Amino acid sequence: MRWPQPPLPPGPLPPDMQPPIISQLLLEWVLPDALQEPVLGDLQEEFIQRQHRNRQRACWWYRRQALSTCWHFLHQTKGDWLMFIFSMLFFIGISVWAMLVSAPDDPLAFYDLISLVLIFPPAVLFAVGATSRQTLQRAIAFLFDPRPGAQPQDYLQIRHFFRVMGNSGLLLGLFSTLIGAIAIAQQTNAGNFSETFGPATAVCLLTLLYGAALKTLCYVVAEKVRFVADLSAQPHQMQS
Amino acid sequence: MTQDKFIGELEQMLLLCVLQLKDDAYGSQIRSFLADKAQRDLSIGALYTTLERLEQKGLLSGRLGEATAERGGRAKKYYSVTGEGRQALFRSKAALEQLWQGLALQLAPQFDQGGCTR
Repeated sequence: MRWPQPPLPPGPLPPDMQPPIISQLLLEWVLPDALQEPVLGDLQEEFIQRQHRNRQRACWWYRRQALSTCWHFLHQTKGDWLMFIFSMLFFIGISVWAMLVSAPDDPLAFYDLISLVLIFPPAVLFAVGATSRQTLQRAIAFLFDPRPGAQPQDYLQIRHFFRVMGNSGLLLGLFSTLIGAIAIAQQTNAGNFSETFGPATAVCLLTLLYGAALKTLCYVVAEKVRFVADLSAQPHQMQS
Repeated sequence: MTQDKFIGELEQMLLLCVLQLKDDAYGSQIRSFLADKAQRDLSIGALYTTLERLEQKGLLSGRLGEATAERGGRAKKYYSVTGEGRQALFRSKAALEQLWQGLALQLAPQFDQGGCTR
């Protein structure tokens, strides 16, 4: 249905006439490149007609259309990304489940803030230090949109970033575990052995656990980067 | 008769909309025309999924047109029915007419008794 439409002001649309920005960004993220112009244009054209009657309803209409459109194109354009994220979440979920099953009486037995601080921030800093801040930005962008099409050098740098981060995490885990083992050895004696050795060793090993987890995740991401880089190098394989 | 280009009901409707709209067949107009004439309110996503499928089958061809201010400076994508698309439509229409003709001869009295007006 078409409604009479007053003329638009010259220049770009004022903010109070723009469609919902989050829905627009979502559509730009999900839609294939070739359809972004026509789909976003059609939606905006109809949105402007609708908002002359009622802006709030027009916004809801736009959001519904955006969600429906994303649903239709998500598997086509983001299927690989969804599978990639699912595999990561599955690993994290299974790990958390195993931890909860291992220590049902104490759900926080596998949580130690100091161990986390010893592993994750230094691993990220090492990776940035060994590469560059631009590589960090590209690596984060890759996690959200691992599409082929970038330069081969970019993929090499991103892969290098994740390899450094994973290896650093594992080595930091070993290093921190050694610190903990030395501290335990120094402070344990015949009197307090039965009370302190077990809990202290468990906390000490947590750093190794976090390091191994980070290494595992980074290994998968680095392999994904290599796969996407191979696809980019051989465009005919992207269509098969 | 080639049997490789079968079209479903929605595909047939969209091909007919594109033919009816002639040079003005782009997403928003097709959606509006379909809602007016067939009372079928498609979402933009469902519309473009089907249009893309028809384009991949070679039944439609698309070209980018002009950008307007009301579209935020974004171009329209105009569609036109290809020769293959017209053939597929004719085949579909002929098949449906054949099928309806046979059913009408046998079932029309029952429809009348049941109060069906179609």
